[in-house]
Amino acid sequence: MAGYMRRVKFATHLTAAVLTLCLAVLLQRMSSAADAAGTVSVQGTYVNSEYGFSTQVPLGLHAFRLGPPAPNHGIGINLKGESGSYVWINGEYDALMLGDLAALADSEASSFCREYGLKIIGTRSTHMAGLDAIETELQSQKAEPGAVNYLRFTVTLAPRNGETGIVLLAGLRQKSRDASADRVLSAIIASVRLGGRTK
Amino acid sequence: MWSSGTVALLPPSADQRYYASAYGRFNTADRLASSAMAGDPGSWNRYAYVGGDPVNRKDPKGLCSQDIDYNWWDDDEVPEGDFSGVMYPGNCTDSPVWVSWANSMAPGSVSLNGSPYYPDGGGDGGSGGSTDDDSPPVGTPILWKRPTKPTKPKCPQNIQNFFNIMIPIAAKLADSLNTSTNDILALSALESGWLDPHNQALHNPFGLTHAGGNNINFSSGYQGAANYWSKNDGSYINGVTDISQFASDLQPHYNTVNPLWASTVVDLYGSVLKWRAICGE
Repeated sequence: MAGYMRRVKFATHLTAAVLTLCLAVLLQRMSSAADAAGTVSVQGTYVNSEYGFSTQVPLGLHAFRLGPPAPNHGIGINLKGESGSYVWINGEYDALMLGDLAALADSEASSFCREYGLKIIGTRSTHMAGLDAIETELQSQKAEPGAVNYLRFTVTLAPRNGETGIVLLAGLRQKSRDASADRVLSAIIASVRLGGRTK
Repeated sequence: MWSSGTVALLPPSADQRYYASAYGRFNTADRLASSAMAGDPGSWNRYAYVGGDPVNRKDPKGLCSQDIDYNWWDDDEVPEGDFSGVMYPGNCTDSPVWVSWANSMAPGSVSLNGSPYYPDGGGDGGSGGSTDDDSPPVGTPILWKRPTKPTKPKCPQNIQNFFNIMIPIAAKLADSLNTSTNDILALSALESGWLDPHNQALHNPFGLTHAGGNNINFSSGYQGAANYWSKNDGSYINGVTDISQFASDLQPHYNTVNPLWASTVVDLYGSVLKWRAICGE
């Protein structure tokens, strides 16, 4: 009798385990289907093996990246609130072959100036992922409602032997200035680590 | 107007617009609206220099571009003089000419382009007058330092390799999607780092990923990757040839994280034109 009960218990546990597994696979498939159509939600540690870096999404926040087959460059976070704050970190090849941090920061700043009509209000040397980095702050001359009026970014260049270098850029874009969003960007930057790339 | 400085390939035009020489971009748009020509997509980006082809074209007045002849300044063609240089008289179609400055040249004398010379603030209604100063008067329109003969950049091996592999593939894609080969090359240059060893090993020139976020390994080779890209993304850019439009149409499906992604693709378009000229592709 005791042996029979043990077998029934085992069978029950096995069935539960199989059902759980099936449910997990189903959820995974549903998730993948959703991913293919749009974005993938990211929480906690984000590891990017294509551009060789990782970072931490601050607790309580959801980041996103584009789903497959789109390239996986990094993550973005839309912060709640009136400021329209957006924080992101992006990795990409130094395909313009600038090869120099100052030139790179200059190039990115110029592009942001062009894109949003901003002016540079300050730059400073800093570090990201243990590498020398440059932080640049940009602002609009006169605040226009609904437009991007403030932007701050930190950029570094990770050189790789015999291969095109990797540009890592973390930024904050705002419609109206809200200094509390700076903490999110700072947390992202502070947690960036260089990692290996998939072979 | 003219400003003093060493003549080189790019600086004459940089006089007309702010140019960040370290990374090869202008910070202000080309001031001549008509420099955008319907038949020349490269001219539509008014932040580019000479339609993105700075190797073979020049734009000395910032108004229109013209071909560069790499051989025209052979030393024996340069006249002697205390100072010599090049100037671009007339409009864009005129050939540049060498001019020389003799210290005895006084305001009101005739320069090599046939017009009287008067320094800024001087001239006294055109009568001019000689100068006691040995150095040329301020404002001379023809005083240039003698240029050093430029050397044509060499084609890097990785870029040559990229063109060898990708031009036939991009041309085929462009043909089937009614778009531009160079647009597709610009996209691929950014997404594969000019086909760096990592992406070459995966035969993945467009940075396409699978569900985990890592790049797909196309065991069927580059053509397989091209077919996959065409199937997934071809419809977004079908019939689009303008690189700005190409990049902005693709951005929502390619990289919504980086606000500058489309702008970078446009910049890469300029690089593709430049390197194709240098590499003879």
